[in-house]
Amino acid sequence: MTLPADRVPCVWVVASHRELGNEHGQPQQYTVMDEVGTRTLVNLGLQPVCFPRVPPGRVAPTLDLVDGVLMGGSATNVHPRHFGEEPQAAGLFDEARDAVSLPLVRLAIERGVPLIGFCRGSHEINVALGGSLHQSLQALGTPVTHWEDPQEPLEQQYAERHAVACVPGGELERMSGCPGFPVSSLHSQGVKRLAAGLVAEAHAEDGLVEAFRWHDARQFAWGFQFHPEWGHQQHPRYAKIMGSFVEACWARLGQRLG
Amino acid sequence: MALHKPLVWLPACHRHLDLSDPGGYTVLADRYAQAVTELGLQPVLFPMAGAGDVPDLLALVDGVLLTGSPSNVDATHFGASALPTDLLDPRRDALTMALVRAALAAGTPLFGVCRGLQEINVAMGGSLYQQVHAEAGMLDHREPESEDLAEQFATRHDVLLAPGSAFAQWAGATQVKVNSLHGQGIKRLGEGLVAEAHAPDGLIEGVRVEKAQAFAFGVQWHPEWQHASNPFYARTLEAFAQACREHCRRRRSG
Repeated sequence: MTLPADRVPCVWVVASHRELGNEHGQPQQYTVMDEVGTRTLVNLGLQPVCFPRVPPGRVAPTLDLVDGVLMGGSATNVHPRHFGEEPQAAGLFDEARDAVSLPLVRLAIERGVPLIGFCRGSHEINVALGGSLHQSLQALGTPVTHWEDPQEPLEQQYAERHAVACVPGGELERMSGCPGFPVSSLHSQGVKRLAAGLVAEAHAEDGLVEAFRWHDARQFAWGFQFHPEWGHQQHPRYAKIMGSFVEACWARLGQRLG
Repeated sequence: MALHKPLVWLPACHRHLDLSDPGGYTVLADRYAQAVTELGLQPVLFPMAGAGDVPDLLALVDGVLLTGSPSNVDATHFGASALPTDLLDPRRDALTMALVRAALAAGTPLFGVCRGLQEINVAMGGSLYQQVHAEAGMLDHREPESEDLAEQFATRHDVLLAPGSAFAQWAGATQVKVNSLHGQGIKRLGEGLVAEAHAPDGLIEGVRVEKAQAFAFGVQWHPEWQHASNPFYARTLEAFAQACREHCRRRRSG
């Protein structure tokens, strides 16, 4: 099978699903991808690829075709049933995405495929490995404001909203080259119990886990509560994070080609 | 490697989700991906792919399906000007114009639906009516203003199929009813295309690429809509799927 161009790593960008007006103005189901993440991959020299409506049973063979997996943010939340809870409030869910992303996380780690998740994507990594989420940080009344104001312009929504502190001596401190930095923050779910096998790498001032990784550092599998794909060219710490993922994908391509 | 399905490239559209969300999104209507999946093929799309990426990416796939879209082909591609009311998608145009020509040159199975048919025609040097319904003597090919998708996608008019054509084989007849949901339509047929299906008003609704090395057809109607319960749509899609499977076998053995 030769989907990977064997020259450039292909990165599977996990899609979301939304009901939008179709070509005739009527609501229909669409597969949608935020272009910020895919544009960042292209700018970094990787080939984004998406498998729309891949049946969950075909996730495993499809993973053979790529050298990395990117799970981006979304307006939807991970369904709480996946961590044994009932939804506390009427939220927007995307169960078709859950059905692909949760097995994909486990398979990527099992097979050593580099994996990076932002916001919802990081929640998926945590939940897939057995962790749980706060369903609403707003309802919890956290001292740090983790959510955007929908009235703000997009640039403002993605602006740096609060600081994170890297775990001293940890991998993120090493990767970013500094003990802490300001980050964007646009979420209402957040890590409650970190899954076994994951290691916290950064926290917000209220203690919320803002970055974590798979415990075995030979496997690149990182979740970030913030958006290093957004503004990576202006934000040196984001650039270091994205650069590490890119390196891991190239290494994977090298391994796969022997 | 039987687990691996033939890959069908579905070029996506680009749009905002709504007025309050200015972010750019790559989108694909799910009914196309679902139809391709139901045929035993795997849809694939390459977000941000441009014309320059076509040679590398085409080598990775077993077929190309050009979908319908809310947007129209920009009339500048056939020597006219876009209407002020046109919803345009210049990135899709740029990709598909290159992709049609490259797929035909490479012998990759190619199927165009609605906007996809129009893209094939324009890429081959043809032109479009920008509003078929504004032409004297032509039918209104647009869908009714209805909330009900089933009503919008209901079969609406006959098409006359050239005797002996693949279309006539798929229909088992030389006349068949199809759905109709479009404002643009073929005006001047592109070079190397053969018109094999016509609406009662004469509009070209189905084309074949004359010297194609593989399956290469375009239709103005939507065979992906409830294809399983419409034998004509089902046979059309199955013929495309069969071509993709053959291409996949050759690509993997070659």
